[in-house]
Amino acid sequence: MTRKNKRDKQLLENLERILKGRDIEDSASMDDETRVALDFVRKMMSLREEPSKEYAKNLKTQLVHQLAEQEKKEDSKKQGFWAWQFPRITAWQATVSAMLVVIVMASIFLVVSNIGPASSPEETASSPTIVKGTVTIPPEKYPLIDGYLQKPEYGGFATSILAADVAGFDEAFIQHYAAATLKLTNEEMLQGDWTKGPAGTGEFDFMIAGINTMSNKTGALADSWEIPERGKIIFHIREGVHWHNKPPTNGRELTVEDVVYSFKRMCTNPGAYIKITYPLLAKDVKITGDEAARTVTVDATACPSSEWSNVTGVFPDYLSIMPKDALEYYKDNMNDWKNSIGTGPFMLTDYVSNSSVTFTRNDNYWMTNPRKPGKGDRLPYIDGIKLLIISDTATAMTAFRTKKVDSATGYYDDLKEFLDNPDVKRLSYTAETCYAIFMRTDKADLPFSKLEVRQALMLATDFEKIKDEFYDGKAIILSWPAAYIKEYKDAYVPIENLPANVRELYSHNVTKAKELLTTAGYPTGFTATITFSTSSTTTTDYLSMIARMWADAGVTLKLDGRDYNTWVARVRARNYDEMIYYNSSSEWQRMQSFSGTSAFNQSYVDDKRVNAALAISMELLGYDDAQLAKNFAELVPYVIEQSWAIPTPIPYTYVCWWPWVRNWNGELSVGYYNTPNYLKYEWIDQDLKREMMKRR
Amino acid sequence: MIFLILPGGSDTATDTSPGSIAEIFGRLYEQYLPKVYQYVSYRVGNRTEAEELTSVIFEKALTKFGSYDSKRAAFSTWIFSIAHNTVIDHYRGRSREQKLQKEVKLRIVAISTSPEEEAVRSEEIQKLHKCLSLLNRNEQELISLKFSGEMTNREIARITGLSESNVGTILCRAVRKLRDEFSGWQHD
Repeated sequence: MTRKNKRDKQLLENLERILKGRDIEDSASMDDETRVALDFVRKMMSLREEPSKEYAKNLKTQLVHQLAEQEKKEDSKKQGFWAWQFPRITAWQATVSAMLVVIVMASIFLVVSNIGPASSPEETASSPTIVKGTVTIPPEKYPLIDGYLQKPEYGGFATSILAADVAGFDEAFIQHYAAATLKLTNEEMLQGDWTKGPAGTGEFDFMIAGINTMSNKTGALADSWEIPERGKIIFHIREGVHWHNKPPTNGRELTVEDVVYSFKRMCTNPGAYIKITYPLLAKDVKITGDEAARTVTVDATACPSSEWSNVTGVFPDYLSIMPKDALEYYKDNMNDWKNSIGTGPFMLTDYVSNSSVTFTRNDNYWMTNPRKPGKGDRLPYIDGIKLLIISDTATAMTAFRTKKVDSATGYYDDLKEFLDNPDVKRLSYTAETCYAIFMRTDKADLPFSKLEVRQALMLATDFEKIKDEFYDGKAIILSWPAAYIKEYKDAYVPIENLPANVRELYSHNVTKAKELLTTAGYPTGFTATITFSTSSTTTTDYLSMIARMWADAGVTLKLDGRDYNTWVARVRARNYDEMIYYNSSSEWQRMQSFSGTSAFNQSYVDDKRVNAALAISMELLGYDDAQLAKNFAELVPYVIEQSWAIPTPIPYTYVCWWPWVRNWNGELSVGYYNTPNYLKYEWIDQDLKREMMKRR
Repeated sequence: MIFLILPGGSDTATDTSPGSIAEIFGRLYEQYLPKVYQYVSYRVGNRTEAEELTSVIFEKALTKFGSYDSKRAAFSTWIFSIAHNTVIDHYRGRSREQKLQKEVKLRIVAISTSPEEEAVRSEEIQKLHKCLSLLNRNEQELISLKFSGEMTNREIARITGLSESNVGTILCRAVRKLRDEFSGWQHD
């Protein structure tokens, strides 16, 4: 070998070492020429050109759609993709798994880097302080099809926690959200389209029970529906759906009459939700059925136009259908758990008050798995469900830690011990509403009638400090007038997109707060009293923190803590003197938190601009979701500027689960108040569970 | 709103349970996008074209993902094979000059702390691209695979169809050229 070749070989060997990260210890033995080359290599390696985040995100979205399209095409093939794919998948997955070490680190980096403030602090022209608290819309996770590539297996029990005892089993008697298990046993006309959630295309999160948009729905007891005109909706009732096989229905098929009877009952029973909540709708809505055509028509055209939103709110994906003959047999009372009969995936078999609820699999359930692998499998996969009623958080966490339950939800403080546990799968999300300090803007003699005062209170509030100190940094600041949720992302305006004068309100600027108070005629501040519920000690802590902040601006906040019932009565009647602490409405479409006379409008707002926007929204509701969101987003800066409420940042909520739970990505409600119907898609990796239980 | 879904910290290091195609491909995408992009960027030297070709590469990869067999090749080899062929097709199809463009306008993604530092960094990158442009197509290709894909000579040989020793020789020559050019640059 010539000298030159030897040198070249040495050079290449050095390069290999660089790539393997061993160049430092070897560099001492290198000649100058090689060292120069190595310096060059290092420099080149360090100058990594990276794709822009926007490009990376767009391409990812494009690939997601491509994947969805591919799967559609594959569906049409006789020879299923999975039939031949499994052996190969098994082979390459081993390699993929090894790669995941690095990938996970990259993912963590990406997530962490995206969670922080979106932009560098920005100084405002008029303010000596820095606008903090900028938040960005958090990155969307790429769609996870947690159906995995394993063939789903049948069997096993799911175990989960109910945070409160079940209040009843028939929503004709109680608020339906209090009938916590009803969506496992009984079904509605429509349901959330699980294939559009994390298990599929990722268009929706299905984390928030209170999201009601027709675009995320698919058929349940109705296999299709139509809206021929505003005020009218026609459901086409699915064939081949059977009631649970127990007396008196004994597994007979669902009829149109069942649906009509259930709907009417919900409009006439004195305790039923529609009857109580929407009396105008209940009074004049016409419900008819055509057994031959298998259609049920809900006609609310005789009701006030504003009732249309209530029609879309309750009939498609809210009211559970009960069997007519069983209702008659049980004298219209299905509220006893022993009377439970539905068409749902599970049958209620035992209930011990304040202890547990047990379900077994409905072997004759109509629905099949809509996604591969396992597409076409009869649902549900699990033999049953055991719900443990545990109201105490510490006990609930112990149950999860000891693997007595599959999953747990809670705030950071509750679940932080699990967030670094490599065995635990988890995600976090934020709620759709926030708590806020509302104030009497309708009383001219109170300071809150003046815009300057309300804005001064915003400026006196250190949102960044609240986020960091009260919520350990695990919160999102901009939560009003609509919180960010994926399904409604177009209605959300991040702080950084607000006009500078509005964005400034989220800064902490005591000097300017004092100036505004002086302008409003309160140069030495004022004293105000806030009414709140003492049912949660954290509220007292939070408001005490606010009081300390406002004191710096000269505002004395007195805390008027009341027991829960007293507070609720005050809230319902909007009966308070100066300020009250209550939550905002999740239904931003109706703008209830700053219009109308409902309990959500605690600040007694009656604003022309809002009312005009609301009128437009009501026309769009149920027809044009995109325009609806756009209209609302355009109003958001104005609403924030008016400072009718001082919002509280929304803390993250965490969902943790053990990895033996398959086909679940943490979604909590597939559809409108459908918790915990995700269990019908879930399956249990029983070998993994057994293996992990041994580690206990 | 969901904004945190980690595959369990270090759990996936030992978790051999399979994920879905979307999940695994999504993770591989996060991992390989910067590398593939950098490789393409070295080869075409233009951001727009680099983005365009990178998109094509990942679209192809997704389409063919079902046929990928880890017994036959590491994923990095597989994806860079696609990248390699895509870049070749790009040049063939458009009859492009087989060298890097002399004038490269790059958007710098750097952790610079000041405009001055950023300007210096930008200049360095442009000089490095000029160095690369002096290499012939084969040399550019191998250097790009070596540094962008962080590949071994054996992997590069599999992608390019060259023998492993040939790869070593070409790389050696390329590095020497770069070294000489770099040396000249340093003494400018």
